[in-house]
Parts: sequence; structure tokens; C-alpha cells
Amino acid sequence: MSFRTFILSLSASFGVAWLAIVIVPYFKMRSLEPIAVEEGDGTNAVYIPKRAGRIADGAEVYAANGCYQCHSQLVRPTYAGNDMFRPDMGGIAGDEERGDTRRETNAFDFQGEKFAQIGVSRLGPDLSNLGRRIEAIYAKGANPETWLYGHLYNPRWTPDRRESSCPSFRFLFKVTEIKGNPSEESLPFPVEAGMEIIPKSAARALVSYLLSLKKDQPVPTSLNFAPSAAAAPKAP
Amino acid sequence: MSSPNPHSKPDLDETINVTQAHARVASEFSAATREKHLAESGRESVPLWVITACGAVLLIAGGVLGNAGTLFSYDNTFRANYVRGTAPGSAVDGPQPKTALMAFSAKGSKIYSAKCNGCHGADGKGDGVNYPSLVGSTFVIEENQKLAMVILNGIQGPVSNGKTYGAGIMPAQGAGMTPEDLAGVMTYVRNNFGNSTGDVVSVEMAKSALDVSAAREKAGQSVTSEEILAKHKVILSGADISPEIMVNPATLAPVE
Repeated sequence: MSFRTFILSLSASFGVAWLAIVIVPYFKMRSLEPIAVEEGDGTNAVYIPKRAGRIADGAEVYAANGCYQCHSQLVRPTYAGNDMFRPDMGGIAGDEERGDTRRETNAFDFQGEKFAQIGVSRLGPDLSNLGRRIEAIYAKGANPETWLYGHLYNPRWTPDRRESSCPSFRFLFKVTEIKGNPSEESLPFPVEAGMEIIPKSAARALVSYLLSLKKDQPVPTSLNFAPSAAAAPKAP
Repeated sequence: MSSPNPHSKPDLDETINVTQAHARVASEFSAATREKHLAESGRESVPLWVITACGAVLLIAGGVLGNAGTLFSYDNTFRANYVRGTAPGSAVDGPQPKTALMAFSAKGSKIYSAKCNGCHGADGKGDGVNYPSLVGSTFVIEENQKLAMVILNGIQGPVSNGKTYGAGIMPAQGAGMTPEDLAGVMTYVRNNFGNSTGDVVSVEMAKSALDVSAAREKAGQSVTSEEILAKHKVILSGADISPEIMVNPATLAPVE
């Protein structure tokens, strides 16, 4: 085998895989076909899931810090595991107002981000509905942003997380002098007198993105796989 | 084959040159060369166990791909004809069931705070001058079709106690109201602020109220007190729901 053949074959082996797994999905994700929502009265509604928060910025910070290495963002269908019914992964099972909102992840859930960061492993919990979980459970009655800043600064702070393997992201925060009143976003951690810990802009973007992760809104019929919905004839 | 150059393929062990040894065997024992192929270093043929192992792997891979329904597809992110399985273990998913009275009232209280308490007050008493009180009003606590018509269409002129409040106009609140919403807010108003009719307006009854409202002669216009007393002093048709049975607070459906 000549050197040229070797180099060409090497490029082909990696190149075909790269095309198939990175390039084609990237371009397909950017041009998702809109799905019609079938309303009872025949209105021509289109499924446009809305997310509130700094999604593009925050997704970049999320990727830059390698969060996808330990956290997944994919709730798999039931033929591929029990993701749907693990506590609060697919949504809240007993939401007071909306009932059982758990559902699988679909491609529209990642709109606004460059890549669907579905993750590599689950060393940490799945984050698809992190925003929902924080507001309903972890930081119930408190400020969800403060809770999340606290988790990023020191993941092992609360007793039930003392064995968390999440690395600390202190470098996303800075310790500054308190000018006048303490900032609203200062973290409740011990620091020397007259100083406070506040998040830098990357941490703000990341927290805004993480709190926007609420992928449990109702979906159109073609993406709704609930048993009662499936009993009715599905439109394409 | 011609005898290879022993120096072209050096061996690690310098004392024995495999090529040379093979050359000797090949030239001296020609039968051996026919029966047993002697491979030079680095040119042994693929052993059978490697082929078998790869075959097994390919078989398993093909099974997985075939099981997936389609081969690798970018457009189908779910398997064809996928229906979600049921949750393992627990049979009850969703919120804790509540009595029908509490569930409908809870739903109604949210709609009331969104639509009604701006004028009628959070305690339902109005302000005596511009907005009538809902406490003890005969339109509210007597036959429920009266209340339904007022909510859905608004009312002009004097109200149940004969007085005219403010400009005498209540705007219709029925736009976009689903039967569940209407049933909830009617149940809430009829069972709070001091009213205690003790019954629940069911979703069926609310649906029939919407039908009645659409079938009015002057559909789309506000009702008046005379019209209500003349035509709508009836109980809404439709199966009622006992206030004590347990329902799912989100869907308002009875839980068996």
C-alpha cells in the first residue's frame, strides 16, 4: 500500500463517519420541517415550541465546559429504556395543573441550539427538564437561579449531594467587593467580610439556558405517542 | 517460487532467518510446499477464528439494524408505530385525585382571578356601585343556566336584585372558554364567598350551556334580566357529577 492510498483511506474512514454523524444532522437540524398542530376547529396552527432564556449563549457555555460528557439531554422512548418513567426525567408525573406531562425528547426540543447536546453518559442526571425540576422541587419557594449558581459553584454543598462528582465551576464566578448593597445574584457561601461572590457573564448565560430546559409541553399528534392518543388515527 | 533473498526480510532473531528456513523446506520438500502453505513473516493467512468472530458480530449488528425498522434514517427519530409503554409498577400517574368539588373549584379560582376579580373583587362582593355582588345573588345560586348565560354573554341593564350597577354593562366572558373552564368557574362562584350550593357543574352541563348560548335568538349579544328570567330559569342538561367523587385535578375526569 502506498502512502497516498493510506492517507486517502484514512481520510475516507474518518470523513465518512464525520459526514454521517456531524455534518448531515447539523444541516438537518437547522431546517426542521414545521409540523401542523391539528386543532379541533381546523385552525392552521404550527408547532413552535418556545423557550425563554439565553439559549444560544448558554448552549455554547454548556458545550465549552463539557457538560454533555456527564449529563444527557435525551429522554428515550419506552422501547429503548425506562427514561420516561424515571423520576422527573421526562416531565413531572403529578403536576397539579397539567397532569402527567412526561414525554419523550423530539428534534424540536433542541431548536435554538447549534447542536443537540444529547450527551455521552449519565454520570449526572438527565437535564431535559432541569428547569422544571429546579422550580418545582429543588428550589421550591426559593430563587431557582440562586440554587443553580450555588450548584455550579460548589456541587457538594447540600448534604444530599455530598457525593456528587460534578466538578466545581468556580472559575465562572468572581469574588468582588460589595459596593453599597450586596448584589441580588451573590451566592450564599462564606467569603471574607465585605466581599461577595457573583457570577460572571458566562455563568449567567449558562444558568439562563439551564433554567430554560423544560421539555414537557404538549406536542402535536404526530409526535404524541401516548397510548390514548395513539388509539385515534394519527395524521402525518 | 524463486528462492527469496534472505536479506530482504530480516528477522528479529538473527540466528534463524524464517525465509531462509522456509526456502530450504520449500526447495527440498516440494510435497510439503503443496500440502502446507508456508507463509512468510507478516503474510500469514487470516485464521478461521477471526473470520468466525467477525461473522458473529455482523450477525448481531444486522439483527439490531433490522429490528430498528428502518436502516439508518435521519428523518425518523422514532420507530414506526411506536406507542408509549405504561409506567412500570404504579398504576396511578398524574396528580393526586381530589374530590370533584375541590378540583373544579380550584380550576375555577384560577379563571376567576384571571377574569372576574378585577371587577367583582377577590371576595366576590363587588363594590356596591359599579359591580354587583355575587354573594347570594339569585342569578348565581339558583338554576345554573342563568349563571352560565351571564358568564358567557355578559348582561345589560338591571341584575338579579333589580339594581343597575355602573353603566349597566358586563362584558361577555365566554370567548375562548372551554367547557372545563366554564364548569370550573361556575362551581367556584357557586360554592365560595359565602355561597354554598354544594353542587358541582359538570363538564357535560357546561357543554350544554355553550350550546344553549349559541342557540339563543340574540346569540352574541348580552343577555338581559328579563331574558334570563323568562327563558333560562332551568337547570343545565347533562349528567351531573357528585361533589364527593374523586377526580383527576388536571383533566377533571373521574378516577376509577
